[in-house]
Amino acid sequence: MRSTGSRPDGGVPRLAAWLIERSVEADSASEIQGDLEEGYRNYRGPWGRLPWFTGQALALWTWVRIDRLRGRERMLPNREVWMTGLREMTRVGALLADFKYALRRMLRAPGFTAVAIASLALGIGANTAVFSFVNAVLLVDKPFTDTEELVELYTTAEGMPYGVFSYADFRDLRDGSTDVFTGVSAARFAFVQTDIDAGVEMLSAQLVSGNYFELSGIRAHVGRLFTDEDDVDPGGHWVTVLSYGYWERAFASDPGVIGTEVRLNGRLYEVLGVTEPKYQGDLRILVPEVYAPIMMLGELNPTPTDELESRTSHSFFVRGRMRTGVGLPQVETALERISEDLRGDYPSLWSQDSSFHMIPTDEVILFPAIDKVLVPALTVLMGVVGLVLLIACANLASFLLARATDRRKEIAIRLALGAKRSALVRQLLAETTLLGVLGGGTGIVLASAGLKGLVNADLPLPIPITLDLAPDATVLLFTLGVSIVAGMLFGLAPAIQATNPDVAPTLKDEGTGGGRPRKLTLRNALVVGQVAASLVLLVGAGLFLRSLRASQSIDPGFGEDPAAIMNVIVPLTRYESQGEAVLFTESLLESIGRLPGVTAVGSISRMQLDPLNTQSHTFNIDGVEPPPGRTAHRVDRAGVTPGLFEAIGMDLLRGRNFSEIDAAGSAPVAIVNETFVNRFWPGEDGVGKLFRTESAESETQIVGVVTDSNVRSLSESPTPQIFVPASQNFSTFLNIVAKTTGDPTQLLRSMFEAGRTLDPQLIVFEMKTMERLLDMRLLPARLSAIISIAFGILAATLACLGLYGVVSFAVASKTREVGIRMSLGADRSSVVSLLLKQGLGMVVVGGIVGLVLAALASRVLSQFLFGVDPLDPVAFLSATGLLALVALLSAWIPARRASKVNPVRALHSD
Amino acid sequence: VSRDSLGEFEQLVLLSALRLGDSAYAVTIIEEIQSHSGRKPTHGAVYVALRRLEQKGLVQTHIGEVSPDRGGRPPRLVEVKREAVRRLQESRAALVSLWSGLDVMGGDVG
Repeated sequence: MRSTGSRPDGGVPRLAAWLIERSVEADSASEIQGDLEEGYRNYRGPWGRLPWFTGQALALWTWVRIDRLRGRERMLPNREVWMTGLREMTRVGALLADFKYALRRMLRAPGFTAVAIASLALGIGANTAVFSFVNAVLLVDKPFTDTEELVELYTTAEGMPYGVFSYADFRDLRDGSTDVFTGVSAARFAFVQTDIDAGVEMLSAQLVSGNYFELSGIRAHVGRLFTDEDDVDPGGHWVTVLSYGYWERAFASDPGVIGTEVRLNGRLYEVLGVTEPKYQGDLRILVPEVYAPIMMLGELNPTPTDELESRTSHSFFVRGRMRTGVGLPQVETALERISEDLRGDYPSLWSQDSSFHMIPTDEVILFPAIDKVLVPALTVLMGVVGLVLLIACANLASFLLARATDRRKEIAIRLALGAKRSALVRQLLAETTLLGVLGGGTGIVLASAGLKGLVNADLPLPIPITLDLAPDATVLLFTLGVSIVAGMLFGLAPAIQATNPDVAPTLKDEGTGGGRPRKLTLRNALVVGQVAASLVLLVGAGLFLRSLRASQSIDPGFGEDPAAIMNVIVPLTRYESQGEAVLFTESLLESIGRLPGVTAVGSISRMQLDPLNTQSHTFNIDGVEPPPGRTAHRVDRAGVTPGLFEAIGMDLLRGRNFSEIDAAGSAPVAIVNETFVNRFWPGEDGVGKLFRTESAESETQIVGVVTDSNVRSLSESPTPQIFVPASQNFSTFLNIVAKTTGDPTQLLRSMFEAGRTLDPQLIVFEMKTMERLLDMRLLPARLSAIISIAFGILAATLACLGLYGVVSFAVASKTREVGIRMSLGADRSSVVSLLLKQGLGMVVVGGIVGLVLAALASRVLSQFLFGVDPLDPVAFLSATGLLALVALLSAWIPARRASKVNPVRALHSD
Repeated sequence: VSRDSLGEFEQLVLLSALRLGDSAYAVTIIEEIQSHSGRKPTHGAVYVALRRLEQKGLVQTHIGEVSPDRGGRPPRLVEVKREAVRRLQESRAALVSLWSGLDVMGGDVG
C-alpha cells in the first residue's frame, strides 16, 4: 500500500479513493486525488457528487489499464524480453560455454561425477534394456497384410481356453469353413538339425501349410514361397524356404542359394526362396530359421505316432482369413457348427465343453495364454526400472541440493550483481543434462552390450531363443528422452532452489547453525526406504549366491567324469523294421566304443535332468498300495544299454547289469535305484523282486540296484527310478553317452563322423558335453544370482548416494554448531561421532525394516533356492555387514570433512 | 495514424492548455474542453493523455501551489512545449489544406 494521500478528506468515497490509489503511480496519486476532490467539491451536474466521483475513479482505473495495454502492444516490452531470453538460451556460443563450464565443474568433482554417471547409466540402462524387450515383443507391428481380416483360431476344452490344433481337427475346420474363410492355414514349430563342419546345429523350423504365406500376405525376398502344391503328399515334398536372418547368417545373403540343397535331419531339401526381412515368424521370441511343408513332419519331427492323422497330438497354430463382408459373429456360428459335428463324431476326444475359440490376429501378441502373463509382467518390469531411475534421480537431486549449499553464496553474489536467473538455471541445468546424457550414453552401451551378450551368449538353454534386441530408432529415442528428462528431473529442483532470487538472507548469512534442519523428513524417509530396499536386494543376492555355490556342489549322482552326449533319432520311417533299427544302434555304439579315449559307451532313452523328455512307468506291487486316488504307482523310467551305467557314472550296488540274455523276447527285467528299493521294500535287498504292469499282462523282475541320481531337477529329493533294457523297450530317440579320458568336445566330432559313416543320413539332433548338460541345469540358478547381485549392487550404490547426500546436507547445516563445539574444546573424534550418529540413526531404522522385509521375501524365494536355508545366516549377516560398512563410509566422509573445518571459519560460515 | 501525429483528443488537450496558460491543469483543461466542444472528458482520459504527451516530450509538468479546494493537494500544472505548438500548426495546416475547395455540407474553412 502506498502511503501518500491514502485517506481522502470529508465525504470523498473511500472505495473511489482506494481505486485511484490502485490505478496510478504513487507520485501522481496525490495530484489526481486533488483534481478529483476539486471536481467533487465543485460538481454541479445531474448525477450527485458521490456517483460522479466513483464514476470518475472507475474511468481512471479503466483508462490507465487500457493505456498500459496499448503501450504493451506498441512497444512489446515483455515479448521482447522473452525473445531476448530465448535467443540467448539457444545461442550456440552461450550453450557451449555452459557445457564447457559444466564439464569443468564435473572434472573438479570426479567422484560425484563418476557416481552420478554410474547410477544414471544403471538406471537408464535398465530402462533401455527392458524397453528394448517391450519394443521387440509388444510394439512391433504384425508382418501380415490386411490384418483386420485375420483371426487366430484355438481349440478350447475345460481348463484349456487356448489350445492348439491337432492336424486332423485343422483339416476338418479348414474344409468345413469355406463359407466364412477364404482360407485357413496351419503352422507348427519343430527343431531340426543341419550339418555344419563335422557337427550339427539345431535350427528352429516352422512347418507350414501350403497356403500359409499367401494367406498371411508374406512375400518372398528372393525366389518363391510355398503354394498349395508344395504340401500335398506326406513325405513327398523335399523343399524348404529360408528365413531372411538365416539366409544372411549362413549363406551371406547369396541369392545363388535358390535351387541348391540344404541338409535337414540328414536329408537334402531344395531351397525355394527366402522370406522378406520383416517377417520374423509367428512367435516373436522364437524366430524360425527354416520353413518346410507340414507334409514333411514325419521326416523333420519323427515320432512314433503319425501326427498328420492323430487327433490327440496338438501342436498346430491355425489362422483364418475372413471373406469380404463376413464378420466375427458369422465366423463364430460356423465354428460352433463344426465343433458340434466333431463332438458328435469323436465323443471321447471332443467333450461337451470343447469347441473352437477365435481372437482377431491384431489382438494377439504372442499367444493368448502367454500374453495374459507377459503384458502385466512387462508393465510391472517397466514400472520397477522406472522407479529405480526415479530413485536414482531423487538421490542425485538430494545430493545436488546438498552440494548447492556450497554454491549458494556464489550464486547469490552473481544474482545480486545482476546475473539473469534464467542464465544461471540454464547453466546449472546444462550440468545435470550433460550428466544425464553421459549417463544415458553409458546406459545404452551397457544395455545393448548386456542384451547382445544375452542374445549371443551360448546360454545352455533347452531351446534356442531368438529375439532381435538391437537398439533401433525407437529405443534410441526413448533413451535420449529418458536421459534428458532424468537430467532435468534431478537438476531442476536444485537449480531453482540455488538460484532463488531471495538473495538477501543468503548474503546476510541468516542460515543458522543450531536446531534441527528443516525439510529433512522426506529425505530421511527416502533414506530409510532405500536402506531397507537395498538390504532386501542384497540379502536376495546373497541367498542366490549361496544357492549357486550350493548347487554347484550338489552331486547329481552321475556325470562326474568327462563325457560326450549325442542325441540321435532312429525313426522307423527310415529303417525297415524295429530289429533293423536296434541293430543299427548296436553297431553305432560299438563303433563309438572303438574311438580313441572312450572308456565306456551306452545309450539312454531319457537323459537324466532333461525336463523336456519325460517317460514314466505305471505298475503295481503286491502289498504296496498305490497313492490315494490312483490305481497304480508311477515312476520315471528310461531304457538303457548295458554300457550306460559306467558311461554316465552310476554304480551298480547289487545284482547284475543288463546283458545279451535280456533280449527282446526274454523275460522282462529291470534295474532300479536305491530310493526305489527303500520306498517299496524298505530294509530289503530288492534284487529278485517283481512288479506288474497296470493291466497285469506281464511281470518284470528286478535284477540289479544302482546308486541314486537326480532325475528331473538338481533340487529334488531322491526320486525312485526304473531302468529297463533298451533291447526290450524300443525307443526312436536315443542319448548316446560316451565316457572319455580325452577332450569330450573333440570326441563329439569323432562320434558324429562315426555315425555318418554308418548312415550318411543319420539324424543327429543335438551334441553336447556332460559338462554343458549340467551347466544347463545350473543356468536358472546362475541367472537369478547374476540378476539379483546386479540389482543388489545397484540398490546399494543408490542407497549410499542418497545417504551421502542427506548426511552431508545435515552436516553442512551444522557446520556452525561444529565450530562452536570445537572452539569450546570438543575434539575432532567426538564431533565426528556426533555427526555419524545422526546419519546412522536412519540406517539402523532402515536396516531393521529391511531385515524384516528380507525375511519375508526369502520365503517367496525359497522355491528357487538349492540347498540353502531361506534364512541363511551367512547371507543375512554379510548383506547387513556390507550395507553397514558402506553406510558408515558414506556418513563418515562428510562428517570428517566437517570436523576438519577451522572453528573460526565454521563460526562465520553458513 | 503514425506515432508522430497527434490524435484529436491530444490536440484538444494541448489547445486547451495553451489557452489556459499558467493555470492549465487537469480540472481546468476538462472545463476548457467542455466549454468549447461541448463534450466533457473524464479525469482518467485527460490524465492518461497528459502522461503520454509528457512521455513524447510535448508537455512539461510541475507541481503548483496548494489551494483549499483540493484537500491540501497541489495540482500538476501543464506547460505546452514549442515542439507541441509546431505539431499543432502542422496538423492545422494539413486539415486546412484538405478542407480547402471542399463543399461538403456547405462548410468552408476560412
